Amino acid sequence: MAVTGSLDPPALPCGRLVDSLWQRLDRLATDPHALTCPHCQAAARSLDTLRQTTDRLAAQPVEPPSDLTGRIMAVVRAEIRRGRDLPLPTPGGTASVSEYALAAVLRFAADQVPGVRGRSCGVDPVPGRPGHVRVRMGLAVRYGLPVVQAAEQARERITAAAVHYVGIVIDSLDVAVEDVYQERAEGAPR
Amino acid sequence: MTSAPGSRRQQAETLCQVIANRVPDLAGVAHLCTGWRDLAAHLTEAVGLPSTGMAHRADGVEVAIDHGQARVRVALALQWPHRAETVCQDIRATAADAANHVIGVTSCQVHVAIRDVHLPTCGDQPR
Repeated sequence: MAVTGSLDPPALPCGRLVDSLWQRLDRLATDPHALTCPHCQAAARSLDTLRQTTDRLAAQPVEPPSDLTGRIMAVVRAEIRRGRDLPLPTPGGTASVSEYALAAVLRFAADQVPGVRGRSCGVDPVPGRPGHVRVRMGLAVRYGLPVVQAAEQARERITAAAVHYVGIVIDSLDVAVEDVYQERAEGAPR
Repeated sequence: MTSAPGSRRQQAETLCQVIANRVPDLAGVAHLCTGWRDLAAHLTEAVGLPSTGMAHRADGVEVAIDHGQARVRVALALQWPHRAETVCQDIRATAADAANHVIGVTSCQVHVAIRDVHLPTCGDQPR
């Protein structure tokens, strides 16, 4: 996913990849997991609808709109970028937050510490604990700043932002200072 | 309020459009997010084929009506600095109100999927 820098295909909450489900769509009756998994069944129904529609499309001599491919590819790219949905405990109903959205909030929280910039951010759900995650955050720190202090401040901001803005609890937060940067003087050449 | 006339599918379509119109105006909602769940709807719309599913989808909103209950899924981008919990509550209240007043369904189950977040640009924030 985008947050970890890889381009893994989207996965269902049960761990199955949507791509793999698509390839086995005709053989799901022989797959014990898919027969009982609500996520696989819901996805299979949607994929089946998509396939039926695609078959009908293929059978018709129609001229697709010029922007059709672009619109579909924009959706596909956005979905890959946003990553998995993490369960978000909220009163009154169910909710979820994508890995991408959570990582963006956490990076932004780190950015609020003077001299610190959030870089890579990986988020993993804690099994059996909805609303709890483990986070790996890479930071860049301004040259001359006490690194340990800066990292500690960033840690506090990140943890607080996750709870306050998103409603997610960070069980563990591994911070790595990956880089040091030098502030550009005003008017200095780029 | 009595149930509005029309099939479940028509009711789902109506409710879906109302929710898709109202939710982007709520505080904390940057915009609705289209996902792979909307792709089939995009394809059918593009060539004018009728959709055969019982659920209705607009970009980012999905509605199904079963046994007198509306099931709604809203995918959106959160606008910083609004809190996810508050935004989810507002969306649920809006969807429930729409279900009650537009199609006369009093039971409404809403899932809110926060798929993206809009943050201030670097120039807007103090460093």
